[in-house]
Amino acid sequence: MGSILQNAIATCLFEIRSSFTIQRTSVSLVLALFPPTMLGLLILGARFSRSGISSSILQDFTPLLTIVLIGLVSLLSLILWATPNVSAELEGKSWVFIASRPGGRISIFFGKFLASFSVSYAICILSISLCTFLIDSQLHTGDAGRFWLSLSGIFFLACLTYGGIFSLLGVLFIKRAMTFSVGFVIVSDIIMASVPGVLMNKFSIRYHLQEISLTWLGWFLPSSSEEGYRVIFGDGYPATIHICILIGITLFTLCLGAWAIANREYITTYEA
Amino acid sequence: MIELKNTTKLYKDVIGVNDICLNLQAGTYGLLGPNGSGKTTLINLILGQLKPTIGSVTLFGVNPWKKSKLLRRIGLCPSVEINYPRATGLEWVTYMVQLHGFRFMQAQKKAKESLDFVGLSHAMNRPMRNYSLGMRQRAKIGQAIAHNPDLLILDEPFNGLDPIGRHEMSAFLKTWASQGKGLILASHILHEVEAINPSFLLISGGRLLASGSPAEVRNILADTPYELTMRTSNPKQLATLLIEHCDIESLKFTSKTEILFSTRSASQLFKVIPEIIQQHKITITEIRSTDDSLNTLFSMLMKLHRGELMQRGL
Repeated sequence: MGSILQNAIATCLFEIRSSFTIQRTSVSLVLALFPPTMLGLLILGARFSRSGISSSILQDFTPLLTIVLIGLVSLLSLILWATPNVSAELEGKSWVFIASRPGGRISIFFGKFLASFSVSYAICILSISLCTFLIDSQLHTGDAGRFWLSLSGIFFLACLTYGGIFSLLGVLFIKRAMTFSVGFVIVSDIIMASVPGVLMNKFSIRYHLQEISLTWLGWFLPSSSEEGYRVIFGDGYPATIHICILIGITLFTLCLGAWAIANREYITTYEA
Repeated sequence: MIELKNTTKLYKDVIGVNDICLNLQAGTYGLLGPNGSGKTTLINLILGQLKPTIGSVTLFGVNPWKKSKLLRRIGLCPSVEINYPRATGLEWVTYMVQLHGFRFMQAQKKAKESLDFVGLSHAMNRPMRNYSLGMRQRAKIGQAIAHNPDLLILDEPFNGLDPIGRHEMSAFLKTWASQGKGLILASHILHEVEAINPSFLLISGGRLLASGSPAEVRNILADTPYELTMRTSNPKQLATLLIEHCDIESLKFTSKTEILFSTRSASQLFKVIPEIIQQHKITITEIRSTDDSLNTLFSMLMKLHRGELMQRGL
């Protein structure tokens, strides 16, 4: 176990070091700056609006918008980093060097998961910090510290869970991992999570993250929608249960992924 | 060391290797075959990266499929290129050694030793994108031997090397073989492998066509038609002299200065040519083999295999 962790950390560090090109760093920066830029434009637009949008309306919507935007950015980053865990090695022909080492396959799986999680979470933290600063300085909400901490915790869990799922999809569907990951998000977190009043939506990752957000942030959605929300999603559980479920999903996907990568035949392109 | 019993590997409806039976004791082996003959598939079966469709594979007495700990005893230098342009040679080899279960400091020490051994210590802190093909080849050898394996497997190690690099690679392989450690050298060029003096495994179309010592393989080659093109100032005189002194099967004037010969006794031909040049003052500006001798050998072995030729060599 110690050896697996040691190798995974070595892989993660090597992966981050060797793939931090100008292009990748630029993409990461663009992703991190996208939510605060959108938020800034929204606030600026409201300021100069002729109809006079009040700051209370902005205060109502900005937390939701922040979460949605950073959520999109984190998903995109995870899809870019986590899903090509096997395909990038096979296409880059480096798979044979890794697979010919004891535990090399499992190390690459965990190592790339760690790398995708680290990079995506770093993007989230930068984005959360800039958004929090913007909201607090422009709208004077007064609870910037709590907002930052809550979002950091929520996106830590989000990156962990989605990172695990996307890594598993990368191992199972080598050629179409990104398509399957986008498909998973659409089916599970948009369609399934929006089915009202039935058990099905509780199987989505979004449901658990939403419930944790509501516990940690308080009611952050527009005030008029509280009743409707409970009709769709029912009453939530304590945050610890949702956290345990998300960590459980992560552990399950990681174990399944590690088992699959260790037991599957991967045909290299020069062999086929 | 390695045992394959009726091993067949199918990629859907394509045959990778076909019904191979082998029992290799520790030693030096040259795995020879044309491109696409199944050498890499055979290596991957031995390494446990592929599961045989039919039959079994044993490495050091254990089934290598899923026994990844066995890989600690093996060093692999694949034919594929290294694709980490930003990483330095030292960073990459250290990482490769770490994946064998060594801690960072230990791995870095081993990486430095092996890079020094392959003559790359002067460039080990440079990004690999600045390496020449020969340097990348050395780095690949470095990662394969850094953990001191019992069996070293090299897939086309001479690819892209210049003559000096080839000579150095041969010298290194001879040193390795002299240590009594296992060595499997896969190649499609006979004379490069022959320099290491291994036992040969001849594979083509996924089948093991023949195996044996260099003398046995030479014996088969002796009966193999050999084609040679010569460029000379006086092709007609050269042709006449060669027909007089050698067992020439056929000849063809391909241009005003070029002749294409076919002979079954290449060694006799190479013995006679210097004598002709010396005695008759004929200028020969170029001699080149028009067919890869190994390809000819394999086509002959395939014919033997199908029963189209009488078996003489083996």
